[in-house]
Amino acid sequence: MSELQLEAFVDEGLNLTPAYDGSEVTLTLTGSATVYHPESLRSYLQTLHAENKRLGVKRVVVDLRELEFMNSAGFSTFIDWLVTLQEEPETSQYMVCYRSNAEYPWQRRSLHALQCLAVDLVTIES
Amino acid sequence: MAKDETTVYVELRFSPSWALISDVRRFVDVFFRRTLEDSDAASRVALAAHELLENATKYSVDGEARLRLEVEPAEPTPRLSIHVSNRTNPDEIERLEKRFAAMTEEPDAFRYYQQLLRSARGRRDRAGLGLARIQAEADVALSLEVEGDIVHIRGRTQLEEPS
Repeated sequence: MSELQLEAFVDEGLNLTPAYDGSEVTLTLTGSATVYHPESLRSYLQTLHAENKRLGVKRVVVDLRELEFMNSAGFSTFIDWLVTLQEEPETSQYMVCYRSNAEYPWQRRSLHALQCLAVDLVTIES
Repeated sequence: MAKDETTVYVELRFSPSWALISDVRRFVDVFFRRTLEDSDAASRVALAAHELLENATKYSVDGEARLRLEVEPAEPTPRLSIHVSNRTNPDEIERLEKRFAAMTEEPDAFRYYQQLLRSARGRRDRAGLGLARIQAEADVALSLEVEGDIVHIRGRTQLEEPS
């Protein structure tokens, strides 16, 4: 089995931990994504996308249950990832499932806005 | 909050730093949760406070910003307001006025937000995303007032009526 060639992301109080079980990738976010310079997070997500393509995964889980907050700059990087995914041919696309926490009501509203951009690629679990 | 109660408010005057903004957001969340016992409304105003204070931090020319939070008795439900002001430069005032004009042109806040999100990739193409997010996600109506080199951004929202 190929391995995911991606380290954890740690920056500005935000941790992203990737894992691959041979069929799907899980990205767990903890802390608070109040990024001032979003370039490093944007670059990280683009690398994750490249890895997802290389591994041929069909589903990526983004676990936000321990994410206290995300500012608009951070949110923008997830939009960029989604735009990149939409631009891929269908054979290279995969589903992105967001796991949210009802104790953080902003997640429901932000994920709704994100899902409206790509209802065929984004699902939400609460 | 009982109908005959007076307005509850808190004001902060501080030199904002990036690290402090999250602390203030948490304070805003607690303030409104305790005042209203409505975690959803508290979360919405906290999001608005965070995005507005980030803007103030980026563009304040003297390193100071003011924040006022208010819960005002109203019918059928209390009205919440947030007011952030800071001194800034003429270029930023012009940018803000253009962003508010663009938001006013599209009366549907969610549609405007979606347009910004769909715009070309990159943060520069999504200028004003934080303001649009406040209106669309937090359901807080924003207004801009310029007084010399001071910009005042006010946000208002109402609690949902119990179903």
